[in-house]
Amino acid sequence: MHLFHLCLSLLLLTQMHMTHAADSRQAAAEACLKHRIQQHESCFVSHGKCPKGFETLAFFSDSTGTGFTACRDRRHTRGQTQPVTATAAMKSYNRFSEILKTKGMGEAKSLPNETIKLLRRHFSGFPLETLRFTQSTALGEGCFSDCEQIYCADATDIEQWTRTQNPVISVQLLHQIAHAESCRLHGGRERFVSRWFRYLPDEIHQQLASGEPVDPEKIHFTMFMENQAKHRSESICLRLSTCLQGAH
Amino acid sequence: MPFRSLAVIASKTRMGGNIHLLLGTLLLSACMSMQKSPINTQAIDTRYLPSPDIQLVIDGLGPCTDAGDRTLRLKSGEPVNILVHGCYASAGRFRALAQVFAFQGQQAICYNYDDRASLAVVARDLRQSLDSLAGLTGHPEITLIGHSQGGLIARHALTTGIAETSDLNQTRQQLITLSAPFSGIRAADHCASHTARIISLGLVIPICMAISGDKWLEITHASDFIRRPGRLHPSVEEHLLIATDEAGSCRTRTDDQCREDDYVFSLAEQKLPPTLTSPLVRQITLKAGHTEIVGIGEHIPEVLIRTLQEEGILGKPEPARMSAYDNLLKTLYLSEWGRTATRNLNHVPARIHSD
Repeated sequence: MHLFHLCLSLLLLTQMHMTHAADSRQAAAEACLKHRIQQHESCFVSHGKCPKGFETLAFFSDSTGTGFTACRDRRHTRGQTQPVTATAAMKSYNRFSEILKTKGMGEAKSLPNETIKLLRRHFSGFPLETLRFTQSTALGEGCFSDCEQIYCADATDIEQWTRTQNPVISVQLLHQIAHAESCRLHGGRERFVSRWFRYLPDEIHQQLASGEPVDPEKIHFTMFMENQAKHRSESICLRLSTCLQGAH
Repeated sequence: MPFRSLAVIASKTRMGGNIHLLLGTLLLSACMSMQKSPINTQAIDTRYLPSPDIQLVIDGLGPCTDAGDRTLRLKSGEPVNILVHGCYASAGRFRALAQVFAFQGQQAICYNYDDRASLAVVARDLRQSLDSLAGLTGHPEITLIGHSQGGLIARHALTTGIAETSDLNQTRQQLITLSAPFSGIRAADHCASHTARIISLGLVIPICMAISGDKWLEITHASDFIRRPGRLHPSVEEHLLIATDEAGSCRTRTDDQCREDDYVFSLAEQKLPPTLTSPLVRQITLKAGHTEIVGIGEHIPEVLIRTLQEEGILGKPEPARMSAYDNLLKTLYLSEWGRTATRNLNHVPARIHSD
């Protein structure tokens, strides 16, 4: 009998929590919708806090204290050019790129013909032959695309992608190529980088303008470009019978 | 009498060229040869859908019925299929297809718009609504399915004009167009013809506007909307272009005699300009009539349903639910439209080819 009551109480508590969570989500959505209609600005609902770079419009707590936030995205309201920041940003980017280069290990490698042939159909407007892969100890993990120059922390990834015998095509490789392709589509390195910087969080802009060193991990953050590369790589991977969906 | 038949009569009689021209202008819209869809206010049976955790009212978007309540009840984060109707139709036109999605536990909603408005304006509004939907419901996967003119609008809504920072771009998107006239509507060529304007003493334009509304020029091959439609935004995963070979199809039949054909657009009209073909676009050609493809009258859209299932867009029913599924299709498409005939649901879809 006690067990029954305990289960019932637990069930009721879960129900209450779910109701509250749904209520705070609903409230955040309504706040966002109102903001969109009245201010004609982008707004989205985030579980918990807003991601870095987005402003909190309203927070609706639920019984667990986490809740949902209506997040405002005001990056598009910035001017097309921010001369001071853009120059500082470009300098900072070049500095970062230089570090990647100087901490590079071994010679730069290209994609094998077999891979180029398979991928050409999917990256029709991009010369895959121009891609160069280099290992760099400046990166803690993963890879970083500086347009056609792709730096990776792990030499194994590069070896797998660039070997002529049974080269690997993975979602990670496609992700890096998608960034390189974006760079070309956006009009080359300079334009791509300045565009990329325009959408960085305000705090990083301030850091750059004041000459403070910036954490590369934070520089790497630009939600839409990352998502774009993610979607593009995953969708191409699905259409390739030989693509590895996992980490490599 | 359909306008197509009027034109045939005009060409067979000794009427003057001007009359033929004016009649020709009446052919400017495929909508003209279509019947207005019946109003369908029946609610969607939601028992197989995930429990909604959010209620929203977003311009244009709503349940696939013609009922007054346009509140969306969705489970956030779950994929959403959005159906965009063609001309002379409404959200209720896709009520049955939305119910088929719901039977598989998949959320499907409809975009309702004024089918006489400018296509570019409607596409812009759709884009804004999709952006709101994406931002407010946890950036779910979005599959946009547009039929006929709805296909043109759906594609335009996903082109590169979308702001880079929009919520829609954070969302995985897929586009499916059905029988959409990407090369312009041939019957509307007169509207864009300078010669026709001169010969008709300028009458062509008001006639075109009166018949088609603000989109009168956009549906012609000469418009920017058709000639420079813009590239799909890179965040669109794929454009599945389903063209229909409508030759010999029949919309309504009486005693085994075809009373009205279902041929609206040729394959040439549905062809995407070569400059827009890319690996993102995959084309499939199906043998089906223009309205038959989405199911109307006595037609169960078997070909479309099978294709969507093969493409992984619509779930396949488990064997244990097959009988219930067959009954659902019969109820939805045959009873709803007041038909009693049954059809064999097991024939293989007539896929002609795919690229």
